[in-house]
Amino acid sequence: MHVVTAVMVVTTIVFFVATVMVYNSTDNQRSMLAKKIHNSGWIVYQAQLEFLKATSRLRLTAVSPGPGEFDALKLRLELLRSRLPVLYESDEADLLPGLADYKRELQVFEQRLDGMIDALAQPNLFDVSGTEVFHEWDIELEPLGRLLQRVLLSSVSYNEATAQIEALLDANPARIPLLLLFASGGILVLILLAMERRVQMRLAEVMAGQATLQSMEASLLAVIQATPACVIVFDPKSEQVRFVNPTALAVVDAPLNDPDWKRLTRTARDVAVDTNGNPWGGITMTFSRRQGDVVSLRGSLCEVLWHGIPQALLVVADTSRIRHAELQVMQAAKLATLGEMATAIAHELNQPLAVIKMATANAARLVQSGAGQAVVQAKLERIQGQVDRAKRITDQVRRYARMPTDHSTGFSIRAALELAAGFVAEQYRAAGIHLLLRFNVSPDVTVMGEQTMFEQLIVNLLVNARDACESRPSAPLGHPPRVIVHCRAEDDRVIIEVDDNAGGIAPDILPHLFEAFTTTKPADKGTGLGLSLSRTVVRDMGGTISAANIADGARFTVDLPRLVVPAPEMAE
Amino acid sequence: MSIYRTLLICDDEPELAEEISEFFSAGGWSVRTCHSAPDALMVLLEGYHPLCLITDLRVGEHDGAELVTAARLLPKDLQPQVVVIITGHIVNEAEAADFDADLLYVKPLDPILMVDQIEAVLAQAAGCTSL
Repeated sequence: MHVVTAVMVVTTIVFFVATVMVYNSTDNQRSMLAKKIHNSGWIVYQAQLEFLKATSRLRLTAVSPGPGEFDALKLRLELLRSRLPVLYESDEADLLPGLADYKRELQVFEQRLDGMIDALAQPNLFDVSGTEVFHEWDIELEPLGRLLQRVLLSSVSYNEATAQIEALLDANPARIPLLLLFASGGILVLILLAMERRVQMRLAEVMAGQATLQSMEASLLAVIQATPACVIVFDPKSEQVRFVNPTALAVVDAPLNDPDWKRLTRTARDVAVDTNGNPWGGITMTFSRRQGDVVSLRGSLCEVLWHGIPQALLVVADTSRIRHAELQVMQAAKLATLGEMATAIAHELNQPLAVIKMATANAARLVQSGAGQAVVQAKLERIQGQVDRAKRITDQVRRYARMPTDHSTGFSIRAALELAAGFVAEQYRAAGIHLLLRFNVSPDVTVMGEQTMFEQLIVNLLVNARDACESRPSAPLGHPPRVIVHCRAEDDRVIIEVDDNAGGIAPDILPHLFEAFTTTKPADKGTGLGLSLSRTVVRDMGGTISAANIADGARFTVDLPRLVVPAPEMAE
Repeated sequence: MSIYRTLLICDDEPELAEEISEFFSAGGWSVRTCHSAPDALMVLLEGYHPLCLITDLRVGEHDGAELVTAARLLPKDLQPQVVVIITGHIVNEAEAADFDADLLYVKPLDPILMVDQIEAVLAQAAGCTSL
C-alpha cells in the first residue's frame, strides 16, 4: 500500500512538472511562431519595397541618365539583390508558403540582378546601349515584381490562416497541459481517496481488534469465573488480593478484606519454594478454614501482568475429596499390608506373651514355696519388661494402622527408616532373610512430608523385597537372601535405595511397575496398588521413585529433597 | 522307679528358655539350654541324650524342625523319648506330626499343661517298654 501511494505521488509530481514544462514550452513556441510569422511577412514586404524603389530608380535613370544616377541605381539593385536570398534562406522564410516553387525563380532573378549590377560597373555601358537598356531591365524585372507580389499575397493569406489557428488555440487554450493538470489532480484525488480508504480500513481493523480483544477478555473472564478451580490474583509485595473468582470465594468463605486471604496466599508462597527459595514446580497445600475444616489444594503459582501491573496468580483446585479418596486408598493398602503381616505380628507378640506366661507360672510357684521377695520381684520385673515389649509391638501396629493425615512436617529420615525396618524385622527374621541397614546420614537430616505415609512406602518396598526373596525357588550357594537399605545425603537431596538379591524384575514389567494394578504377586497376596501409592507419596514429598535391576536383584531408589533448616543466628 | 529326667531346651529367646528351664528344674528335671539349632545339635552329638527335647520351630536363622530330624536320626536308644515343638506362629496343632514331633504348642504355652502332657507321653512310652 505504501509503495503504491509513493508511486502515485511521484507520478503526480512528474505530471505536474511535465505540465509546467509543456505549458512554458507551448507558450514560448507560440510566441516565437507569432514573431516569425510577423517577420516572414515583413521580409517579403521589404523585398517588395526594395523592388519598387529599384524599378522607380531604373525608370528615373532611363529618363535622365548620368553618373550619379547610375550609382544610385546600382545601390538600389544591390539592395534588392540582398533582399532576395532572405526570402528563402532565413528562418522566417521557412514560414512562407510555396518556398520551393519560388526559390529557383528568385535565384534566376538574383543572377540577372548580378548581371545588371556588373553592367552598371562598366563606364561605357551607356555609350554603347543608350538608355534603352534601362527600359529593357525594367521589363526584365517586371516578373520579379509579380513574383514578389504573389509571395506577399500568399504570405498575407497564410498569416491570416495562422492568425485563425492562433485564435482557435486561444479559444481552446492549452488542452494538453490542462489534461495533464486534470490527470495530476485526478491522481491526487485518487491518492487522497486511497489514503482515506487505507485509514478507514486500518481504523476498521483496529476497531475490530479492540472488539475481539474485549470479547476475548469477556470470554476469558467468564471462563475464570466459571472455572471450578480457585483463581486468585494478588500483589506479591503487599499481599493485597486484587481478584478472586467465585470458586475461591466459596473455598475461603470470607470477605476480601479478611486476613484469611493473606494467610492463604502466604501459605501458597511458602510451599511454592523450598527453604533455599527454589521453586518446587507445583503447590500441594492444606488450608484451615475458619469453620475449622481443612481443605486440600493443589495447583501452581506464577507471575502475571494484571491490568499492566506485575501480580502473582494463584490457581489451585480443591482436591479435598480426591485427597481424601487417596488417603482412603492408602489406608486400605496399609491395612492390606497389615493383614498380610498379621501372622508375623502375632508371632512377634506371642514371644513376650510366652515369657510372661512362663514367668507368671514360676512366680506363682515361688510364692507358694515361700521364696524370698527379691526373687519374686525379679520375676515381676521380667514380666513388666515383656509387657513393655508387647506394648511396643502394639504401638507400632497402631501407628501403622493410623489413618494418614495431609499435614506435612519435617522428620528425621533415619528415624523413619528405622521404624519402618523395625516393623518388618520380625517377618524378615521369620523368613530367614537378612535385613541390613546401611545409613550414611546423621539423625538430624530431615525431609518434608507425612511421616507415616513415608514409613508405609518403605514398609511396602521391604515387604515386596521379602516376597521377592521368598518367591525365588532357591538362592545361589553363598548368596543367602538379603535386603539392604542404603541411605545417604547428597547436597540438597536424600537418596534411599532398597536392594535385594532376589533375581530382579522381569524386563516387560519394569516400565509399568509404578502403574496401578501392576503386580508380580499372586492375586491373594498383592493388590497391585502398593507401588502406585508409593509414587503418590514420593510425589507429594517433591521427590521421585524409580526401579532398576542390579547384579542379582532389584533396586528401588527414592530421591527426596532435603529439608534444610536455617541455622539460628549467632548471638553477638 | 524314679526316672532321671533330662531335658534339652532350644530357643533363641533367652528369657523364655530360662523360664522354661526354671519351671522344669523345679519339677526335678535336669535341664540344658541352647539358643541356636547348631548348638543344640552339637550338644546331642557330643553325647548328651535328653529324655525330652523342647525346641522352637524357628531358632534364629535355622529351622527347629531340622533339629528334630537330626534327633530322630540318632540310634533308637539315644533318641529323646519326647520331642516337643513350641512356636509363636499360628499353626494347626494337628500339624505336629508333620514335624515328626510328639507335641506342638503355640506360644504362649501353658507350662503345667505341657508338663502333664510330657509326663503322659513318657508314661505311655514306659508302658509300651514294660510290655
